[in-house]
Amino acid sequence: MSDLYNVSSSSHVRDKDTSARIMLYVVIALLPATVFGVINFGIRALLLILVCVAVCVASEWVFEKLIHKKSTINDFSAVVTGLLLALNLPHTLPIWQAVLGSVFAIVIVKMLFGGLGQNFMNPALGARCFLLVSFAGTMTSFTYDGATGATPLALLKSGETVDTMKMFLGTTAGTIGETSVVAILIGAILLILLGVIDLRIPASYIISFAVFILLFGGHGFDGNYLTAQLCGGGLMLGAFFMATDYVTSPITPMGKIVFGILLGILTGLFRIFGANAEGVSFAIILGNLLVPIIEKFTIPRAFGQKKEVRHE
Amino acid sequence: MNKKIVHDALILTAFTLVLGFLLGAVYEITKEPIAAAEKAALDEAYKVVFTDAASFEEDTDFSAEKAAEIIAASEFPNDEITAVNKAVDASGNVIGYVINVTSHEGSQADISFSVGIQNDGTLNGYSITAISETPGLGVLVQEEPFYSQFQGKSEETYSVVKTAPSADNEIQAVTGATISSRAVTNGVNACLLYFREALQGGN
Amino acid sequence: MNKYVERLYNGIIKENPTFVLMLGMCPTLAVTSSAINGIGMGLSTTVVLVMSNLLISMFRKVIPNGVRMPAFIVVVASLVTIVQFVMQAYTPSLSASLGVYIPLIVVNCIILGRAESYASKNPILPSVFDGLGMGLGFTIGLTCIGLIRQILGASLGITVFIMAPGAFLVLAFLVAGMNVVRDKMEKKGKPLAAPSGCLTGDCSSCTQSAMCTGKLGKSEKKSEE
Repeated sequence: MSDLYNVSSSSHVRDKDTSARIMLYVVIALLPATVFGVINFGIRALLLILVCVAVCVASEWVFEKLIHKKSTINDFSAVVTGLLLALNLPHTLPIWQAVLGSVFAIVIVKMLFGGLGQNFMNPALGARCFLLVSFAGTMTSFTYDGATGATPLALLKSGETVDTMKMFLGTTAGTIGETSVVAILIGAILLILLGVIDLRIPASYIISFAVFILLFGGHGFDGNYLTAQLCGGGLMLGAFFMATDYVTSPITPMGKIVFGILLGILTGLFRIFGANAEGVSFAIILGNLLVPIIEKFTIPRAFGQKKEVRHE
Repeated sequence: MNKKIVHDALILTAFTLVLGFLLGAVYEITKEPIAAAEKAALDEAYKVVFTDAASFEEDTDFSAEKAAEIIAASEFPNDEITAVNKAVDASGNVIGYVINVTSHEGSQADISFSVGIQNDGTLNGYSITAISETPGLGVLVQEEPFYSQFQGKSEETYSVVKTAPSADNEIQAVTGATISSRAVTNGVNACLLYFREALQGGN
Repeated sequence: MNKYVERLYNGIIKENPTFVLMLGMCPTLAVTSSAINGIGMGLSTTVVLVMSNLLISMFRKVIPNGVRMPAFIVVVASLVTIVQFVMQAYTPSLSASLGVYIPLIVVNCIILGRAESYASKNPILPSVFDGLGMGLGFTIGLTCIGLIRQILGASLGITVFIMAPGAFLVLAFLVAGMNVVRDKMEKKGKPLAAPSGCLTGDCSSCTQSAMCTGKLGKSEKKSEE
């Protein structure tokens, strides 16, 4: 019997992309930043990355065993969560805190809300903020080349100048995966070419952030300051790898742009007017919470459908 | 109908009266213990920064306007002197002052603390009475090793540095909490300034 | 079961204000940063609850129906102020750490709720035991949360548990735990006594039924049965 006679419900046309394949692409795209982080910060960074990935996968498996659900660790999403979390941690963080963060990401942010596809915020960022609030000391002490030093953003905040070239290459203090803009961009281009992410969110995020900095940064049109703000902290990593998370970003084209602009404004607000130098992760998880509302108001009109007329 | 309203109102009034008298009675009974407890709590805070003192007396010459003038003209205008107490030893001599200051420069909200200064300008230390800085970072200004950097020193002003201090008047900030460290240091500076201008010598 | 013991059991287990009724959430979340704060808050609420139940039950035939709410509030507010004076005088440090939440006991819905739904309709002694049971249930709830937050936050150094989000996390896990226990007991065939009144949607005995906006719909009520 020919396939044509096979009666089944939709969807009839299937793509070869599966969750697992997309997650694998993301892991590959994160490799440049990961490798650079390990070279930049040393073997301790590698250890932290391995611990985070292992604990994330293990806690997903254990949790699903406990509640008698089919294991979903084969979809690689726990690997991505672990890797992203590790890239958002300073390499000096005590191992037990990293373990706690990984368990928090998977069990509390992801599995308790129903697993992949149901989580209301990005698990890796949720865990990063949990750790940031819990262990403010160890999460914000960065060492580079054996010396404790402030991140470029913190220096910028206290009015000092920074070397933007170093920030672009990534040879500065910071979390494991956020420092090198080059490495992140290589991965991002790969994801865009593979069609895994589209440019709407990152582009509207970065552009609106840049506009915000120009308007409210207090430095006028200072190219050096603007470049430093764009290359500093987790902006690039966040814009390309975390704001674009399928589950926690809007699905409508217009919604993606609204989402990006919202993140840009929030990040600008936190960085310029907040008490801390960095605000990408808080901006993204706050944005995540607003996604359902954004989607509700940006549903595109179906072809042929008339615009709804409001009766006052 | 009218009768019912009057009846209800009378009963409610009776309730209010009886309970009001009861409240007044309890207030009278607890008035003195409350005052004693408040005094003890303040003395305790002052005692921390002035262990040698036997008791503390309020400085009756203190005027908030005058203090505000002195502070407004200085380099630390964001601080506010709220009260001054004399530290008195067992034989009744004034051996120093405890100055209460509120800094508006905290990273989250105001920080209030008492600073103990001996007659010759030596700092005894400070004791924080209200703080809502970030747990784990800003609140560390009330603990070691930040706290002891002030003890027993007699500089005129202190400044905050981020690396190991090279001079006696340099205070190393708590890592990651420069704003809170600066707020406390400037508060201490304001107290020292007020002490020199209004309390020491001239008085 | 003896009706006084039944009242205690009702307050502590069956209708535990914190874990089952979910009442008085403001102090529950705000002051439980340590076990001692939890006990302090719980016990001061218990004292107010017992005394207000006693007074209101005693005068339940005198208080006219039309002004019962203002009368209850006057009683509760006076009692809270008395407790506040006593605490300031004799336990100043506890009073300082509970701060504004002591005067706020006045608006704690457990107290007005018990006055309205129990003490104003029942004799003195059962009302006192009702207040005692509810108060102890509240104290146990707050102390549990406070203890866990203190261990995780202050002792292990996970700062988030001292801050407000920690209260929500701990409360959620304790309520979840309570539900697991409830499920297990039901499967074993000896269910915990089911909560009655508001939670089951049984509004027939409730005096506030007319103005209540939180009633379960009819369909939901059926599916629960």
